[in-house]
Amino acid sequence: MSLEMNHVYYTYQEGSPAESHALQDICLNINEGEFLGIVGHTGSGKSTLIQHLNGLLKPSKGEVLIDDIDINRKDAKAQRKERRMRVGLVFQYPEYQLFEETVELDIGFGPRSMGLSEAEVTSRVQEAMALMQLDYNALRKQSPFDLSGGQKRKVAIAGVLAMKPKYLVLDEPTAGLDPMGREEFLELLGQLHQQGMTIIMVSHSMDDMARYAQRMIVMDHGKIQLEGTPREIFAQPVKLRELGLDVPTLTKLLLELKQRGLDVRTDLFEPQAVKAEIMRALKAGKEQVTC
Amino acid sequence: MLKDITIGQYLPGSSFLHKLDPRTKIIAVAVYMISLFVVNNFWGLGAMLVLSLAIVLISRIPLRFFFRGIKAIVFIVLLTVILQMFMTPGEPLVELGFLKITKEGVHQAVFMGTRLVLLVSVTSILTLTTTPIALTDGIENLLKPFQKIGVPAHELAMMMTIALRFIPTLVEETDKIMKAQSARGADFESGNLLERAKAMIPLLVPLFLNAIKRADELALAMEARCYHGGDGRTRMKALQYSGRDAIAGVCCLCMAAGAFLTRFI
Amino acid sequence: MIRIQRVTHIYKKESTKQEVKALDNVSLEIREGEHIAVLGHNGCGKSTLAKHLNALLLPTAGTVEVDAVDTANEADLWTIRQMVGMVFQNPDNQLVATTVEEDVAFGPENMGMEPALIRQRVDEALALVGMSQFKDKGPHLLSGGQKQRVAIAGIIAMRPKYIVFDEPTAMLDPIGRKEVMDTMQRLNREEGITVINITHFMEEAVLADRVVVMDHGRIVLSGTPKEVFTQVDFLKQMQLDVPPIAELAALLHKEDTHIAADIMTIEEMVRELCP
Repeated sequence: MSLEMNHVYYTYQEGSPAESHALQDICLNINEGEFLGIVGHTGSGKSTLIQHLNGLLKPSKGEVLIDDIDINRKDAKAQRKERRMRVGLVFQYPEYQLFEETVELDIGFGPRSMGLSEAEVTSRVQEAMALMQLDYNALRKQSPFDLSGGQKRKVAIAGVLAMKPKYLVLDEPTAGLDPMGREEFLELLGQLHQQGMTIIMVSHSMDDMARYAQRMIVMDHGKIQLEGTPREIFAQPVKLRELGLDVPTLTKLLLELKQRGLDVRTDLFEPQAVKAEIMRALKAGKEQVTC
Repeated sequence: MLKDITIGQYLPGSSFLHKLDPRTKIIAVAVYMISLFVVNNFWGLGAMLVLSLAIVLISRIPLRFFFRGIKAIVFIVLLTVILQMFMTPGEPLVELGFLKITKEGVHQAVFMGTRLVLLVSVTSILTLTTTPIALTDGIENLLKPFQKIGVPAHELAMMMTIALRFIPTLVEETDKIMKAQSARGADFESGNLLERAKAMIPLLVPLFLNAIKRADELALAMEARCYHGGDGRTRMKALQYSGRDAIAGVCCLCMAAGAFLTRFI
Repeated sequence: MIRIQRVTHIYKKESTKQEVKALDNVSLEIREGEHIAVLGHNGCGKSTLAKHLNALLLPTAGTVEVDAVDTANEADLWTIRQMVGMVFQNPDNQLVATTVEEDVAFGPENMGMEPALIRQRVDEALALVGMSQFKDKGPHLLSGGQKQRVAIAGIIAMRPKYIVFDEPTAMLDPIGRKEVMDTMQRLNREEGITVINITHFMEEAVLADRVVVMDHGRIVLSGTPKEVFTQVDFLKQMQLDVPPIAELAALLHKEDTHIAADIMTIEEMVRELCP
């Protein structure tokens, strides 16, 4: 089971003078249970790409397969809707899509629009809130607009989780949060992933990617430029810089040290690992001198 | 659809009309409208038609913009023409059962149809040759004398400016929220009228709340930049009449006088 | 100099009518030419503090003085707002006009300046932030970082002595963030403008002369970036980020005390390890 993009092209305003190729020949296979990171600067096509994953945008050429079936296949509307609902899409600043009077109603909007029974909707809301670590009894009757920024965002994401997607796509989920909120959020996503959810996350933060993503793609000019594990990606700092991106801070330090002659690995990014590596290299260096 | 409405669009250029003071253009359009309704025979209407064509040529705006503008109102024009043709009492030309076309009717239909088309074309020249800023400045300036009797000239102009500034932002936001709600299963396209209206709630509530938040923040930012209403405020680009405006003014007077005189032919 | 003396600010929450103490007996002096960073979580009172500096908010108790003028003095309100400019978080919600240059002119127009002088100020301000070639563009056609630079130009055109940046990069991508930070630093170093940057990005705070950490409406820590960021444990306990290099420096220092613990930047660390 997987999400698959086969030679997908997407052109904005085809035929007009403002025509632009937002996606070009995208081939991507996202396996169930994976944590995929997508990076690229603004305008590189990453937002356009994720909107293809749940059929919000239709490819100008090529196909998007969800569990081996074309997501845009022209069969019954209900089937098409069900297929699209397997992919939950969380936009940037999702708290701006809240609209209901209470938290419970808002989270229930998705499942209700799927035509589920009220009992089923309620149980879905409870489950989704539990996943986002929101207290059902304390919050259900509250207006979502009275909550703090971080909590609003959790409610908005719970609204997507309540539709029980197999694949969860998030566009910059930590944008605008303070460090505490960001940390909490990323950990929540990590937990969701451990419980078996496939997660596709768009982010600018290389440090976040380094910590959570199992695999990354780097986009530029509507194309996938690099693909691999964070380690493999960060081992190509020159290429990344060409694409207007950076490597995590500590990786950058290791690269500088290496250039100055200290023999260190340059594919690390966590403070503890980097410390150990630097200590090892320093010791090795000293031994050489004393020998 | 929104793209087809030519009224309100600005097309950069450097024609005589582009360089006119916005106040002159606003007044000229008003005089033109009056003249168009003052003329009452085909001589007058013909003269107005020629004059309008001349204005269009002077503006150096591609003709397709006018056709597009006319296309947008074609329904209203047809409706007017048909109603005038059948509803005006008088000497019958053709009779189809209970419907009859009168001589007076045809006369009226041609008049009203032409007037409408000319009106829309020339009014759209005003916006096509004037930047929105210049237009609001012009309106503010023209309304200033009426401030003493309570017309909030500055406030109106400020509201127009802010509205113009935020229309593209709100259009973008509408698109974004629509997509976000579609991803949650919202359906904006099917169902009967009532269902569709109901489906708009998930779009309109966030849009509205967001607009209020924006207004709050913008008000704060304006205050922080020393905004305190129109009193004592100056403008970087102060409006100034030039020789061109005098020429245009004379032309306007001739038009009005000419239109009045054609009534006696 | 801006002198904040024992300021407390209490407001009523709209939804619950509860009284909230957003600032609790805060005292701080900001010298001319300084670059100060104010750090803290959302809700720690840093934005409330910022709004006190140009009389958008007035203290419930205590005083704020800008160049010895009390902000509570209503007669001097517009002088204070001219002296203390403010750049906000959301780049969209602070641009008023339909073109870049008209927007930059907004402040000077409110001050009632002569048209020719406004023109000159606008051109200078746009050149200073590197946005001259966009002067006739509509704001909606710009990127986030560009919009913020226009907002900054709009403030500079009023010739302020102090600029308060209220989380100016929170909504920007890395490129936009760099654009804004470069502009901020240039204004401070080359134009001598006092910069007060409210932020929660540690990478930005490292660039300041002085860092002030706030929590629950109080100043809990203050000093040079080195003094503040070497307190790794305290910052972690406050659940604030620590700059990665500072964190690494602390770890290395524990293993080998010859390595200095107060290192903030990559360059310094490289010099320390490979002299």
